Amino acid sequence: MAELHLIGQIIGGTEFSEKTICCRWQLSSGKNWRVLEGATEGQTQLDTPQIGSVSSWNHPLDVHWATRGLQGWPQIHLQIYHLDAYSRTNLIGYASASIPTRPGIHYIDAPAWRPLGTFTEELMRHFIGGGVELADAERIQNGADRSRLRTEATGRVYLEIGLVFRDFKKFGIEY
Amino acid sequence: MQDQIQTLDAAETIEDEVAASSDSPNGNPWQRLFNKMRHQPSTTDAIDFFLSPAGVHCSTDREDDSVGQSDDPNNVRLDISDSIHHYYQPAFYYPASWTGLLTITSQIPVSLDEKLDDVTQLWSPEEDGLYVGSPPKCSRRRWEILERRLVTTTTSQQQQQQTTKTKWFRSDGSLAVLPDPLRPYLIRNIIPVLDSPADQFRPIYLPNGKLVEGQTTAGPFAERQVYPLHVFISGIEFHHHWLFGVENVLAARLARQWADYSSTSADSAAITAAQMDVLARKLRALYQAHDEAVELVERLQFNGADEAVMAAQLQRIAAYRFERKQKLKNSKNSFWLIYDFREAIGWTRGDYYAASGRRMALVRSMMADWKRLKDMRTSQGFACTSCQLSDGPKKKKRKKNKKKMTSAAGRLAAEEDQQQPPPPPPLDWDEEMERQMDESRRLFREHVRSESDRYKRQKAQWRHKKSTQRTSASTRSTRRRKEMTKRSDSSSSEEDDEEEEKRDEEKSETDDEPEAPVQRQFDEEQTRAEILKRMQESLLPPGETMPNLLWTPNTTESPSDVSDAREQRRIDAIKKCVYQVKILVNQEEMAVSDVFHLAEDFTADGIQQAFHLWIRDKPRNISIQLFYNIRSNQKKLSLLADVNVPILSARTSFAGQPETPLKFKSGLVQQAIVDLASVGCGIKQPGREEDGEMWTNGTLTIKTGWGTDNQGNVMAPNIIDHLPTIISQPSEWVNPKVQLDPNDPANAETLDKIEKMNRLEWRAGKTVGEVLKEDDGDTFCSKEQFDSNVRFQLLRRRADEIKPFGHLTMIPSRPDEIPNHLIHLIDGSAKTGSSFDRMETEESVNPLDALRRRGQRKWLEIYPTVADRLSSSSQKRLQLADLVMEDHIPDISTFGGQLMPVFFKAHRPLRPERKERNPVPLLAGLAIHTTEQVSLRVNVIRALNLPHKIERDSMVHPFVEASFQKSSARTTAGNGTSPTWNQELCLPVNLAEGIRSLAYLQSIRDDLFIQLFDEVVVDILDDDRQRDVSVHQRYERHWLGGFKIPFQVVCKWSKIEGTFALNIPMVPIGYEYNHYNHDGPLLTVLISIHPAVSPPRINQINGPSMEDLGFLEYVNGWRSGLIKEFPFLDGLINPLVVNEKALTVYIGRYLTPLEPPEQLQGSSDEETLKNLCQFVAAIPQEPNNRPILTPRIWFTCQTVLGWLVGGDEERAILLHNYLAALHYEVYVMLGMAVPEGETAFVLYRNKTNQTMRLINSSTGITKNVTDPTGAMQQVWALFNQNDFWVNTHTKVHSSQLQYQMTKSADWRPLFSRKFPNPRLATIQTPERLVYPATNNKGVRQLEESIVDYLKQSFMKWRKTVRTKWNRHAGQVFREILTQAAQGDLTPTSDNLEELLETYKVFGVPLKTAYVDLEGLGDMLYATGLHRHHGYEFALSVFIKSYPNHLLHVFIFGAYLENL
Repeated sequence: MAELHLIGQIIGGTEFSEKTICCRWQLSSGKNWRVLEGATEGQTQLDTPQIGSVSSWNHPLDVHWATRGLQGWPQIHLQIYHLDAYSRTNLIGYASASIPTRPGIHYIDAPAWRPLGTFTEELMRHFIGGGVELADAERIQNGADRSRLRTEATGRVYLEIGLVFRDFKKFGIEY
Repeated sequence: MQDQIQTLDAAETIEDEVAASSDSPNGNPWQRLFNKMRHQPSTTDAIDFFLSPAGVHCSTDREDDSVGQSDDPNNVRLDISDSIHHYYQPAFYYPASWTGLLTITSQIPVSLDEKLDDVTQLWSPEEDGLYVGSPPKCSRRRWEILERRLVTTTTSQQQQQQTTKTKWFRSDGSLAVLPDPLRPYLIRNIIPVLDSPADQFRPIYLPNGKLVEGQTTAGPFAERQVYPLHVFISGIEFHHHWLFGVENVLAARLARQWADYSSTSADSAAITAAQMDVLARKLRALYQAHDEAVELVERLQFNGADEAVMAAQLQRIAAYRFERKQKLKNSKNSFWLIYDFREAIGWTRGDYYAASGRRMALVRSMMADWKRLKDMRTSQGFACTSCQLSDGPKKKKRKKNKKKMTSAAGRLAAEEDQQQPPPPPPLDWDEEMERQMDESRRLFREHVRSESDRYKRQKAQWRHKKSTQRTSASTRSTRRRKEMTKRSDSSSSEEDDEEEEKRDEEKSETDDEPEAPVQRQFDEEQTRAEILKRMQESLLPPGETMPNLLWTPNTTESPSDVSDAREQRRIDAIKKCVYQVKILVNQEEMAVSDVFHLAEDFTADGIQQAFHLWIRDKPRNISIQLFYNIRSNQKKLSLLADVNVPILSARTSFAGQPETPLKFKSGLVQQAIVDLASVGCGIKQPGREEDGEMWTNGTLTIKTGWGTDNQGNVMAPNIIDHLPTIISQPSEWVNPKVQLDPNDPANAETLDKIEKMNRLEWRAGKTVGEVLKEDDGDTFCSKEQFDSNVRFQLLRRRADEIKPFGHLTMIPSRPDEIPNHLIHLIDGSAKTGSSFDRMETEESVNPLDALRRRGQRKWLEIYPTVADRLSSSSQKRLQLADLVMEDHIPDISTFGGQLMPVFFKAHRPLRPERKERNPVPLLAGLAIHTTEQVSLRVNVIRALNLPHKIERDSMVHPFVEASFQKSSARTTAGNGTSPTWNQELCLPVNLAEGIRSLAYLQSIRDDLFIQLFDEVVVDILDDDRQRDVSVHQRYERHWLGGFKIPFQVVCKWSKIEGTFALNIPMVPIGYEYNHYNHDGPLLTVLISIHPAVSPPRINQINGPSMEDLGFLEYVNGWRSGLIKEFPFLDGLINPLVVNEKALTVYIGRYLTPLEPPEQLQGSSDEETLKNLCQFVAAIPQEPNNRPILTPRIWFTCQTVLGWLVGGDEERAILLHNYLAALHYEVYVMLGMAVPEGETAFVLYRNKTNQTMRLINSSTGITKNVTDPTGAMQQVWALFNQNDFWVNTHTKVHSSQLQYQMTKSADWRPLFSRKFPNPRLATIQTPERLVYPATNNKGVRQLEESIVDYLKQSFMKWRKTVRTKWNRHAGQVFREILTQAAQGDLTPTSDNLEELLETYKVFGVPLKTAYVDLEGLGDMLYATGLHRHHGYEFALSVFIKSYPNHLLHVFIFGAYLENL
């Protein structure tokens, strides 16, 4: 019955080919975990950086979990979208990161990738937008299936995650 | 040899080529060329290779052409020196010097004589119908060359001629070739990929789309499709049931045996008729083959042929007659072949006997069971099962005719017989006997022979041994020593050795002379008996055939009447038993069937229920749970069995699926009940071995499939195809304990499925262990502990904003610090849900009470549902303006507009400006600043028109007491009938611990009571002489009047200011009013809340509407124009209101003339009007805890009268409708009144003097509209059937307005000439308004219960003192109440005079519409009557009843003091 507080933010994304981007995020945890408070999924605003290349989101994350085991430690899954000049959204990247297992402040780089389509699909994407997306976005959660995917690196997302542990020591968990 | 050598010329070769190309599939030159390029020979090439000496091309003419070229495929170069050269190589120039060395085989066809040897009979197996297989296709000429070559080469070696001839040629003279190994058609092996990962994980191309706004709110990963899953449960049949009687058990067993008997599938354990047939045929074939072989051998021996010929013949037989070809080929000796036959016959016979025996046993047991069943039926005189076992009609004579044939069954059987092929003729009994006798004899002979052989051998050995023993006694010792050394390896002891030696010696002594075998005679009789016994056991007796049994599970005969009482009870128990089916998908209950019963034969074909489930997740498992209960009246059902449904593939649509029976088995243990003649289940019964431990089982017939969309496409989750199909018992084959050989290809599929399932479960977040059991090994605590943690529950509830926990700010970090009341709250909310459930359980005393409670409950229940619908339909999409607040950039116009008034404002230093307090901008959920105490401020300014005392010499000393939430504050006592206080009373708002948010303020439902009392000082000094020394006085308070304001009204308006009329006692005892003013006392107060809070805004409704779009647009446009003109009306005016169905409706639709109840028709219009006002006022007030933020729902009159609950608006509309029916000019006035808050009054024009009068719909009091003390503080709008007018006066109070609707400067109408009133149809249903008469008996009962309740509560409030009740006074007061209820304002009674002579009486008469007892109690409490000490009390209640169960309650509470 240990507890974990996650207080942090999605700082921003960089190195993406497009500028006006936003990020949908989801924190998923295993069966032993229970979200006591806080939102586990959401979406950031769109940001178009004027200076520099980092799209700043500074989206707050504040979740409080209770857990009865270490299995299923939380992970964060991100989908990065781009809003083009015609107000259409395109997926430009998936990213995911494990929440660290040490208390304190952590800065995490989550590299983003997107699936590559066939030649024609990529051609269509280049000229008219759109693009291939995963049919089942849940699949980014388990890496076992990803081995068959052709992807392309698209950028990276910076996360700042502060963790507060409680009662883990009581169960002999050292960190 | 030489003479056959010929030279082939080129022409022939070309001919060959043409021939080959015409008749062989490989003959296509292109094909051959291609093969050659790939270095693969064609069939023709291959044969040419073997024909090489003949096929070599040594043309002289074309030598030059063919040099270095390999075009002609028939030119095979044979490299004789290198015979291991396997591959075809292109021909090239062949040197002429080789010509003499080569033989060219002639093409003359070989005659049969040359091919076959002398002994072989010409015999074609093909003609005998045996499969030979087609030889590889090749031109005839080549075959002939090949044959010729074989013949010529073999003839050169005479000694091998015979064997090679038989080796190369078959008995029909053709070449012995293997069948063509090539398939006649092209095949590409496609490896079946069940779980194609590429498909599963293929990204899909999505067209570029707009960001759907709904998605952002619902979460990024949500919103998956739902899939329709149809499950149709058609029937259930029990194969065993705990209520089975013995007869049922027998019938069930018969049915099972019949299933075995009639099964056709090979995999079942039962011996099918077809298997028997196969065995019988095989045995007969073997017999024949054996006989032939023996005959042949005899004949050949007789003819004197040699061994090889015999063997060849035997082999020929064997090859075609017998499947164990391989073994026979290897054996050289012809006799071994016969032995082999014999052996085969032996084991085939064994199989056949065993099979036949089992089948016979099955038939016998079926017959025995059937006999028992029949006997039982005849003995008990009735039949509870309707099955029949009958014999087929084509039965030959039988000795014991057990079976009765019903005509129906017979007909059926006859039909069946025609369809079925005739059964195989059984083996001939005598022949079988003879054959076995022969075998036994032969065996015996062989045995004897081998015995004698052994004897001879042993004797020779013995002789030899004896001689050696004698000659070498010394060598023996050395041999022993040798043995010793040999044995020392195995570390045997000396003793062993010695023993061995002794044994040796003994043996040598006994072996002295081997015993000669006893000359025995073959015991014919005994052998025959043995064989007969064996045959009798397993074969049918001669002349008998297998009975052609026929099973009819349900005969048309109706079962006879049951005469046995136990049986009758059992049948009753069956009928009583109820069953229910639940469908679970992914372990979650999805649907529950209706409760159904079983028929007498333990089937329920009448379930026939279809379930249409919508599934969001892909189903990992689907199961059906069967529940049962022994008694149908009990609610709780217990689980009987769990049936796993195979998971459907994605392509199975519901329509195309057949019904599948699913077996289930229950672990239920039920004792046999003697009383019911049932056998029970799951119990080991010692007496019965075979079916002692019967478990309840049966089959459930269901049909499942995915639904289809309009186009007929199956709608199924697409990944489902890759899921394993879990068939009936997953645990058994998933269980790793099941020992499957992983290398056995037969298990490959199963293992693959197990692996796949593990992987899927891992993917779904489950580990392998969890499939079997919940693994708690790695967790900190158990699931229950985890779930029952109070702190976590609190945190979660707070996060979910569940009602009492939503406002908690601090939750202790340790569970043991959590206050107890919170824990109780959690437990309570978990147990009872809402308070209304508790009300439900409470026993309702009175039908009138029950009616009201029901109505209130409905009233409250409708609010959340309407709010839900409104919020879902008109959920405001966030615009950028809602999220981003942009500063208004000033430009020149704003500069002028804002600054000019400041500059040009008149400077008036003497007129002080009121500074508005800035309201605290509170958002819901934000905490109020903690240092500030939220409080109510009541400024009591002055009072007017107070009554004066009847006693002349004394003056009233009035004071005001304000009370809120059990805290109270009072002013000092003033003097006279028009006192001025100018005092501020401060009442703290009691916030719950730590909760300081606006949301909480909005949830406070308490009322602020403002009461006016007269302070009376009673001198109780007994002794006048001590007056100088001591003061002994008592202060009394006499209630003069008061009112209450709901806290929410104060909260919403944040400031209430004005002069208000007070509710006064009906009969002021001891006081009197000035004759010139009957209006009663008035009080001027200012009530405000501190700190000021901004009132909550009710969300604008723009949900679905009943009105058409044009009307809506017009109304909205009109309203926005109006609000622009009069900003203070924002949020107050809306001609569109919400009705019960969450639709917006024009408010005028509620208005229609309604005929008032007949009982209320008075003698004059005035009286009728008064009655109607009272009637309407008697409608119980709506519960005050309706949600604040949802817009008000306007109910129709029918609902209000049906539910007996209504707000001011409903009452006003009802009253308006009545008055409209009485042809009054009548309006409904919307505005703000004190203490009602936002309310609706009824304005009508008096018929007699044409003055406008205002009816307070909640009290029924009629006042002249010009009365400045009217309760209506702000008038916003008026409406009637014609129009809707908005007050555009500069004044708002009702008394200050001009009621001339035509004046558009004062009243702005909704409809104009441009948009006339569309005269929308009313939504009231006048034809449904019925007024049930009120039950007088119930009313009197209610009266009594009210008195009881009030008296008891009264005594409870005065816990410390004894309360004495004066019954006489109570009766007197009741008389007065009765008079007052009739409308008499100054009721008198002789008894009262009498009473007043003996007592000093002070009383509080109250009048209210009856809602519930608690409300009455609160009212009485507020008067403070119970605070008086030491007197007698009197309490009387009178109820005035109106039609439609409406009641007015009059209460008179008084205290009496002896004069």
